[in-house]
Amino acid sequence: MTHQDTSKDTLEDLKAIPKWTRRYAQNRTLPFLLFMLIYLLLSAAIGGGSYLGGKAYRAGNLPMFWASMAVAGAGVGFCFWFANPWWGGKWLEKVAARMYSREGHVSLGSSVPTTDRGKAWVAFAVSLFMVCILASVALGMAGFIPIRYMQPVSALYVAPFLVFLSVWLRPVAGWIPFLWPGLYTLHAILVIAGVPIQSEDWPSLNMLIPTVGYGTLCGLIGHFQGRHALKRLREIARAEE
Amino acid sequence: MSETPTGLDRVIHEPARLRLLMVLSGVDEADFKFLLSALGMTKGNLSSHVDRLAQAGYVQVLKGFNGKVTRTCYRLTERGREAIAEYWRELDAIRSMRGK
Repeated sequence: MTHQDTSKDTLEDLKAIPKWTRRYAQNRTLPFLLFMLIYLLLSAAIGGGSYLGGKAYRAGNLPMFWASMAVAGAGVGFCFWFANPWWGGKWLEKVAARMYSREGHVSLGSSVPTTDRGKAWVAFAVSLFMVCILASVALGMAGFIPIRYMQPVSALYVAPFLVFLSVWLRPVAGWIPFLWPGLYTLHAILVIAGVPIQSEDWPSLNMLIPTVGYGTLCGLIGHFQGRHALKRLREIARAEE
Repeated sequence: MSETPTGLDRVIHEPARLRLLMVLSGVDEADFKFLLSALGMTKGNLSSHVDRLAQAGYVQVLKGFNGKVTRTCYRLTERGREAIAEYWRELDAIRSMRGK
């Protein structure tokens, strides 16, 4: 490379290599999409199993009742296994490494808080989030929150929690995670405004779409952005010498 | 540090090594496989460039395990980061002088 034949564009491209590398590393979202898929399957197993079990019990169909309960029970059991960072977390880590094994390992550091203050903040936020979920479900079951307003009410704690997660993960995940609380809040505003985006026949979809649906959408956007970043990185970094 | 006649760091002023350093400067660490896939070099070529950068103290080599398989990761050192910043400063200065 001589100064004479190095165009300004090539130099600017070279200076952009760290940006594309970082953007690619921030958007390796396949494990997150897998997580969303598992969450969806678990929701279907637990929710569907309970619903069908109740229906079968009322109809006196005991074999169907026990089969449905077995599915729901397996879902709950898997949920506990999956939520444990030493079991489900490790498994997801291994699968993630396998998913990107052809492209190799690249890291932007760890998102796990190392200071006592950081750990305390995460523990506080997660505990508060859990309390809010339990409280809103209890209030909903007691009839204090109409079913159609469950999502807008949940936005009061889900959106801040997702913002917290996005801020926490920003160095390793970029800006795309911020889309999720944005879409969740927008969905809640539309529901309150009376826009017909809620299903009467499938009420569980009213919570699944803003959670799994928008989460998956963000994961997919991240995935495609990561693919684009890797393509740009290779174009520049493999340029003819 | 050996320099080109224009005063640029000779270790960095080599296209493949410059690209390698730029890739590493965007992340915390990357393994050999990622660098191969991003830079499109042969294993031998990449290995010799990485060795040269490690000798200069610009890159830190981290040997570890991924399960039972050994994995070699590379990380830009503080010295490497400063050297790249200095390299771009000097190159931009040369370019602006020639542009006048």
